[in-house]
This record gives sequence, C-alpha cells and structure tokens, in this order.
Amino acid sequence: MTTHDKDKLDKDLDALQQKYRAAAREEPPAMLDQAVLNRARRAAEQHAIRPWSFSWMHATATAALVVLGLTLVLQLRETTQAPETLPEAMFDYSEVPEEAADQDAGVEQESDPRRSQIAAYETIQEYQKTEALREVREEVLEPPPAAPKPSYRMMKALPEYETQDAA
Amino acid sequence: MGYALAMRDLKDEHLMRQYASGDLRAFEELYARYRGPLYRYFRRQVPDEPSANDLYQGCWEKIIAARRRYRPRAPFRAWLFRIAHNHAMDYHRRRKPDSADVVEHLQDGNPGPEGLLESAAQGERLMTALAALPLEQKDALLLRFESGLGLDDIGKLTGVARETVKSRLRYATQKLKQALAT
Repeated sequence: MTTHDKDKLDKDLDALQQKYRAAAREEPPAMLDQAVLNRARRAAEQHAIRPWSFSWMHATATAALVVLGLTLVLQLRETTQAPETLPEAMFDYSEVPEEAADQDAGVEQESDPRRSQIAAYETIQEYQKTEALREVREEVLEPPPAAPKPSYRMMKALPEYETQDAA
Repeated sequence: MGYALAMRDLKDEHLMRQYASGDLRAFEELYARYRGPLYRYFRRQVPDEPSANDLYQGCWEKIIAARRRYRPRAPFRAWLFRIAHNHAMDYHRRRKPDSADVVEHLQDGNPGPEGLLESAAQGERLMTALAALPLEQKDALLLRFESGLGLDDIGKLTGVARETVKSRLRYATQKLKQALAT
C-alpha cells in the first residue's frame, strides 16, 4: 500500500469516525454500572482481607524452601552417618579401667551424646586415614606419625559399640 | 477534590496496578474512562441490548478477575480491548450463524419533525451499514473507532497481520461511504 493510499485510508477513517461519534452515543445503564462497581469492590475487599493471598509466586518460593531444607537435612545426616564396619582394636584398651571406674563412680555423662558421637567418628576417620597412609609409607618412606587412637569413652558413645558391648 | 484531580492525572497502567493492590478508587477512575467505549463496542456487535449488557458485564468481570495478572508491558487500552475482543468472539462462535444477524435500528415510533436533521438520518444510515458489515470488518472498525488503537495493536490483539487489519478497514470504509452516499 502506498503512502498516498495510507493517507487516504486514514482520512476516510477519520471522517467516518466523526460521523460515528455523533451517532453512537450509547452509555451503559446505571444498573449495569452499579453491578460492575459492586463486583470490583467485592474483589478489592477480598484482597484487603487476605493481603498475603497465596499467589503462585508464594507457592513456588515455599516449595523451593522446603526442598532446600530437606536437602540440607539429608546432607547433614550423610555426614554424621556411621561407617559400615569398625576396624578391630580401634580404641585404646589401656583406658578401659579408668573409664569404667568413672562410670561406676557415677560420673556425669556428656550432656550431648550426639556431639560425642560426632567426635568419635571424626577420630575414627582420622585414625583410619593415617593407618592407610602408614601402610603405603611403610613400603616407600618412613612411617607417618601415629594418630591418637579413639578413647574408650568415645567408642562407648557409638551405637555400634553399645551393641557389641551388650553382645 | 485534590485526590480526585490526582486520580485523573494518573495513567491507565498505574491505575490498574493500584487497583490490583486493592485501591477501589483507581478502578472507579478506570471504569469512568472506558465504560462508554467498551459499551458501544459491544452494543454495535450484537443485535439486541440485553445481549450487549451481558457481554459488557461479563467483560468487566474478566478484567476484574485478571487484575493481578496485568503487566504494563502493553498499554492498558490494548489489554482491555483484547479481553473485550476475545469475549465478543466467544459470543459469536457460540451463536448459530443467522442471516438476520443485523442490529436493528428501530424508529422510536414517532417519525419526528419533518425537518429531520440530515446528520441524524446520516447517522442512522451509518449505523445500519456498520451493522451489516462482515464480522471481521465490523470488529476492526469498532476497535479503530472505540479503542483508539493503531493498526499494529489491533493486529496483535486480533491475531492477524497489520496488512490484514488495513485491508479489512479499507473494505469496511468503502462500504460505509457507499451507504452514506446513497
């Protein structure tokens, strides 16, 4: 379409629009106005009652938080999970009589058994690591410095040891 | 008074966002601006006033329900008339095709004074000719007249190319000019 045609069309439309506006003067009846405004007011009041209405954005954010929380909990459980097997002679037997005496004397246990479990596992892991290194180094270099063995008290905090002890 | 003046100065997009936040007065201002154009858009599309009233009310209910989904990426007018256009097209799809689907412009029974103004008669002929247009041409013309939107916006909201809108307007204009010339 040429510019001339476009201009002609615009002019024709403008002229027709003037005639149209002179002829088309209908307005909605008052009853209809009231019905629409009432509907709008009810919708606005609903919003006022529930200002934190659960929009889809809130739902998505909540779901994301739940997933994140679950992931963190699962990861935490993994890091504190016990090893499948305990190597033999893991703890220092020489400390047994003293620890047993403490227990007999009614020495107060640690208030947080979980913390002692975590400490025990960490010590075990460290001991295992150094023992593994020792095996390698004995073949190649001088043996690594000995890591502290987990104590009787530490081992007793572990559920695996309790089971063995009972047995 | 100061508050009313401030409302009148606000743009449509801002008013709609305010209404979405719960400000009823913002809606009242928007409604005052568009009640006439929207009503006439529907009134010219359907053969009788009750149907036009139903369409009009239904359209506003959709607008109210969609208030929180409104995003001012496009002009509010374009958004409003897109809802209106879709609402009208749904109505036409539901109706049976009727050869008598012409808006009747009945005389009020009183033929009026002998010196009926030419403009009034011309207006009557214009409305009759407009009602007789094919749906797509009539819709394009009404959107042009009532919404004030340009060809691009009309094309977007009706789902056709700009050239198609122009073509429809050209045919519609020719028919109306012929009706007014007779």
